[in-house]
Amino acid sequence: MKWQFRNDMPIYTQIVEQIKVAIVRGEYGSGERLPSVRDMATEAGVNPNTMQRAMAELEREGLVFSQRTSGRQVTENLELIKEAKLSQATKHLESFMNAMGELGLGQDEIIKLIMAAGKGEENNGNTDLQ
Amino acid sequence: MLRKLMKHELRATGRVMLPLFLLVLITAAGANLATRTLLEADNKLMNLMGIILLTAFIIAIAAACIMAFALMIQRFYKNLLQDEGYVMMTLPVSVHKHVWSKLLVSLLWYAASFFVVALAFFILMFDIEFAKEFTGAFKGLLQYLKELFPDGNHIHAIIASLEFFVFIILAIAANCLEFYAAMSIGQSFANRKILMSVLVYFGINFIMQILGGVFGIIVDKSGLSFSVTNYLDTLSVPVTIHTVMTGLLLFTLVLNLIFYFINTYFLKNKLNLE
Amino acid sequence: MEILTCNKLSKNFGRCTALDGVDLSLAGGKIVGLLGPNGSGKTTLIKLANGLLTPNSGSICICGETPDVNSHKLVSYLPERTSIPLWMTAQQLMDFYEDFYEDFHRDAAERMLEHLGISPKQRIKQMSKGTREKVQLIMVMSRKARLYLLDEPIGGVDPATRDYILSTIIGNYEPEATVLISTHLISDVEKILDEVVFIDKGRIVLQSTVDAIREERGMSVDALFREVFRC
Repeated sequence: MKWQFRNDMPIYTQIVEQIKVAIVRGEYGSGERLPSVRDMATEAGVNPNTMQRAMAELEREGLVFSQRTSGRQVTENLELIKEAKLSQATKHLESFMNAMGELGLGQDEIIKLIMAAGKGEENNGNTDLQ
Repeated sequence: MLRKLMKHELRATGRVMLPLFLLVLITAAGANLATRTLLEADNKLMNLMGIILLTAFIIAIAAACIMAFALMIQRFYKNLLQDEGYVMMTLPVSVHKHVWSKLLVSLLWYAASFFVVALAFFILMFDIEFAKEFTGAFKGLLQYLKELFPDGNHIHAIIASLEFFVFIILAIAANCLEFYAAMSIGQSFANRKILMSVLVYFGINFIMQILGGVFGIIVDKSGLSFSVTNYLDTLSVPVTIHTVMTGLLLFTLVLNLIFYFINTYFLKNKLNLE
Repeated sequence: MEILTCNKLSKNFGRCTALDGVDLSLAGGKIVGLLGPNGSGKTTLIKLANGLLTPNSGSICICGETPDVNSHKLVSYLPERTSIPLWMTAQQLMDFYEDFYEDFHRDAAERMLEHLGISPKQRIKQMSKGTREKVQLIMVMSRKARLYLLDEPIGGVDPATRDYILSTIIGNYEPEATVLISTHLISDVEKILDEVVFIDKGRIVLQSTVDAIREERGMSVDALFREVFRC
């Protein structure tokens, strides 16, 4: 997994987000065992306490659960993962819509642009915005 | 812990001293060859070889003796009071053990140097004639001791040699501890630690000489020396020797204690590693 | 339980004041950054905790003990410059640490040396500057200590070595122990810190958790440091 951190928000919340993405994308498959907190912290280059805090948050949301003997696992509840995917997508969409709104574009124009961008991609990535 | 400290101290110093000792013994054999054949030969080249071998021997002996002394100082300063001191002085080991380890290992190398040099001279001189002379001289020494302690007083001879032996060790130890004390005080200054160590060393010697002088004057003026000489005159030779030796032993012992106290006090309470 | 406490701790060198009435207390289980510009008193504080200097006034305690033989057993110390004896081989250095520290784990040290491709027979003297620092760090982190005092562990090494050093620290410290890292390279260590202590001209000017700084001020510790210590 590739870790990247921004400077303006706590690291544990960024870890939570990035692990969620990894689970949604299936990098950590449903029911898969996660490495130990210390190993994950070493890999991400962060403090083990920070990783622990992120794990606690993910547990609270139900995306991972810990078992006394076998460490932490990704949830087997596919509904939850789907939900997480949806909420991530919604969040991205919200910020996208906000940015477009700031440019003064209405919903119709935005949809047109998206369609055009999709077509453009099919045509060798040529996006002509007139 | 003292044993472990000494083990690593011996490792650190042995890698310098042992090759030097080997060199002394090898050059001694070379010098033996030089004196017996090369120097006597009619050949200029062989003469030159002889002179080189002899010089090498002298340099090797000087190197071993100087190195034993230099290591005594260098190990204390470099290992305890410079960069390596960061590691050494944070070991879970008391300053007492540090001082003891340095002192004992230094004494050991002094003793070893003495024996190696003696052995080297033995090698240098060795031929049949010399072996005879040597045993002869040894017998003479024994004879002399017998005369000094007549009539079954051999026990006195043994005790006196023992006293002398202990005195030599204590005197060398006091000398080492004096150097250590000077360095321990010197490092406690904020700046110019080496210069201060040297000054402190001369300062200590100066104070000792003043004290010695004052003591001498007091003894002289008070007529104490008279009564002491008179008292000693009443004693038999062996008892006189024991009395004088006991006095010397006590004196060097006190010196040792003073220097030891200065060392441990400054290393424990005034440590100032920068 | 407090691992390190300072009480009105002051130290001066001649007329120069290095620490001026420092009050500080560090709990266990934390990685703490001791951050300040050069000459702010970081090294002096760490040396006082190791008993390499004696305070002029005030006190400093490690697990309730003043720095002495007993506290040395609890503290694993990485000095600001390489101070392991250069004549030793890596093997002899491990003998040395094993002899004096009961909490030294030789197998861990051997594993890390092997990982770096350092032969136990190699002399420290023959190693590059960066390798020497790594070897000393390996010795320090192979102990299971209560308090790790790391003085400038990433100063003067290349970025790849920095990453190695930081991951060695995270991967090896005891979870209940406290790790105090002094540095002025904040952006490099920020991710691994729980807490930061800002020190300036011998005084503590801020003690806070990294999360609190990012949450409350919306800026990184590095940015805050630049703001606090703007010249």
